[in-house]
Amino acid sequence: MERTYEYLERLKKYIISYDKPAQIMEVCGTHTFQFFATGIRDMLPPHIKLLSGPGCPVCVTPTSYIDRVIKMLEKYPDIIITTFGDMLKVPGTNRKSLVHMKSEGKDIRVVYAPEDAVKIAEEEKRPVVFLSVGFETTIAPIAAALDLAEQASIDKFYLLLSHKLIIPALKALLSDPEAEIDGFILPGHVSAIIGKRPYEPVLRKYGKPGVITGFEGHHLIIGTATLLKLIKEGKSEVINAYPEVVRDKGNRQALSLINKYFIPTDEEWRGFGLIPQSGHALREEYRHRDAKRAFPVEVPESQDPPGCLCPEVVKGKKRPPECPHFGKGCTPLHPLGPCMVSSEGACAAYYKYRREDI
Amino acid sequence: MCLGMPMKIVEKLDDAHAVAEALGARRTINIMATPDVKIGEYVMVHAGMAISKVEEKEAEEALEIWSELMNIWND
Amino acid sequence: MIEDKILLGHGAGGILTHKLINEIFLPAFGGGSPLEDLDDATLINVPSSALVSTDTFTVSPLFFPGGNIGTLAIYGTVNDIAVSTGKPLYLTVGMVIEEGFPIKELKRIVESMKKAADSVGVKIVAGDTKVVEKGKGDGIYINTTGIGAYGGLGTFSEEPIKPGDKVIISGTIGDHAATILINRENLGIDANIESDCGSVVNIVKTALSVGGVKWMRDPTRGGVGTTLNELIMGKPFGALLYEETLPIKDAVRGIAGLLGIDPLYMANEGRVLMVVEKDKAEEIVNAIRKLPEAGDSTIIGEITESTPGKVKIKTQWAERFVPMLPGEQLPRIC
Repeated sequence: MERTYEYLERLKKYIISYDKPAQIMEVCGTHTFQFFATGIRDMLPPHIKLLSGPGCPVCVTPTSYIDRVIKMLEKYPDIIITTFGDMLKVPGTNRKSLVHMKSEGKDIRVVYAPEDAVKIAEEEKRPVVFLSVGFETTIAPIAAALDLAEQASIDKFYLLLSHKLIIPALKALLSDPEAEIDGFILPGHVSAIIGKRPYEPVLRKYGKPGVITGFEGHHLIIGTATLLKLIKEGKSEVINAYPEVVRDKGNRQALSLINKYFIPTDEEWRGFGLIPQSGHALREEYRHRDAKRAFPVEVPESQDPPGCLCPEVVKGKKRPPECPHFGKGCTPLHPLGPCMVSSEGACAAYYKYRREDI
Repeated sequence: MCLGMPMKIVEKLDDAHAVAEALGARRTINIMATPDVKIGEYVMVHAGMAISKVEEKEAEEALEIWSELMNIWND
Repeated sequence: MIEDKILLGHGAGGILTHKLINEIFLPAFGGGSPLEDLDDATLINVPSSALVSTDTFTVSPLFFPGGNIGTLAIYGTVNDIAVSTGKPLYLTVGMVIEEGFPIKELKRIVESMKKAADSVGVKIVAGDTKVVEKGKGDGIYINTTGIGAYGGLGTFSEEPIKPGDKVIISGTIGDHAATILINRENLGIDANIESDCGSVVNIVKTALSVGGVKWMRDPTRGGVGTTLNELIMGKPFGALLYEETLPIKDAVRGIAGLLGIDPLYMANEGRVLMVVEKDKAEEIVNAIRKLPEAGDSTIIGEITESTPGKVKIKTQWAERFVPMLPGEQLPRIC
């Protein structure tokens, strides 16, 4: 579409000639990566700063989660752990990770979709625990997988929950008096699930605009330009700049499915501490699926890796290169914390694309 | 958090599953969140599930609205 | 052969070993070669300037569309010699086989190795087999060592690499990696793709005959991104790739997209990456395009004066850096 091309060129010019400083938070880790990968980050004038946000589910999951999984594997050697690839290298206390457990012979399997874990539970007849980590986008397929297990009476399928909900996270970010965020690039696919409405009261309350943005280059251009315009005009609206995928009212079926199995609960976040009603517990009638309950373990005091700035990075307070360990004691091969190994982690993104302005 | 891939529905298997294709790569996906989807339509797939239908027409329409709303043409 | 599985005895040196050699290896590798004498060492004529290269192969799955561990092992070493301008002459084959390995599969592997070696005109002159206990091996590991005649396929240009030189790839990228990934365990992805596993000897010969070739590599593990970085690192020049020119098959794009990996870093097993004189680039591309295995050859970038020591890529929107990949690309999921 030539009109689109022309429009995009104008938006690009708008961004490049934007004359006010602005601090924009890219909530979602995939946006951080895409800004780098498309080269659009390099296009932004230096006074427009991109802050990384908490939209990296692995990054905001506390160390105690990995410690618990490791303890479970040690106490219940029969268990099969199924997980998304990201979790494998996340270091627990003492820097031990699931990769180490795997090399010790423990049965840990990477799956692409949570349903694949249900299939394993069906075939293997040993208990299968799925590391249920994610924001709303991922919670939907997890709920669907659980539904499958329930319908097919596959009993030995369990979830170890560490769900994270986006709106409470935004509230926590904005209620911080030291927050210096002018506007938000809102996560496109989380929004496909929750829609536009949930963002409005929070952003209005704090007077900040947000733009629901897709992940291709042209989406980033549209989203960034729209957000900058809203910031300049002092508007605190939420705009859906990804209408081909996001419906303003969200996905009713997905929300129903999530609601069927999970209820919000207070949750511990790396970097934020306890955020009320920001995670999930299984509903009472499905508590038999809770891995914490089925395989109880004692988890000793977990320790965040000393010196790891991940808790500051997920709040956008520190940029990865500002961490003294970045690229030295902490690399993707030998990570100190999750931000360096998650495919959504800001430190991993900066490290991979090694911006020269480090 | 958000890795998604647009895929075309090529076959419906049952109420909850369909075969989807992206550039010649096929996978069985869960369609419980998009039960009305038809063969030939596109969906956004994340972690093996269609989280939404992709409606290009909506994008085109939105572009029209924005260029008025934002008045960026005249900025 | 009565046994249908490899037994520990097959590696012991006695009757079973001889059975293995006579019934599997010689029929495939023999045929008038020095191997038939079954000596401890083979006498060969080595050219005065000889290249030697060795590589050990472990791959899962062992058989995949477009090849198997055996053909990988043959072409892998052949190609390493070829991109150094060597005409591949001899190969040795060493195998470590796990007890219980199906003999039928061994036969398949060995026969396809023979076919591959013949297609390149390289002789297998020495071999060794060991058998390890069940559980101590991944089915089979193969090592090949190759000897070639330096300059046997042509010579590089005398000119050093300088800004303005062009970067060429001899075909679509990521085919091998994509094939392996979807044929490995349960990613549940189905696609029409096969490995590009094959010889680059003719591609090299043709390119060198045009002249103006300054550097060549086969971009295997780590793909084009890593291989190009290996050249550029520490040099007084940089490189710029043009994203829109990268030849990538649709199926590979689809698989890479689903798994969240970057085709720039995906392994190839039958391609040549080269840096050539600016004025010779088109002629070289046109010449190698005539070969069926290089039909998609393209100019994908150039050597630059700016950003010395670093590789950049021009996307639709801007230029960004193409880093050295820090470790394995695990399929991204969430």
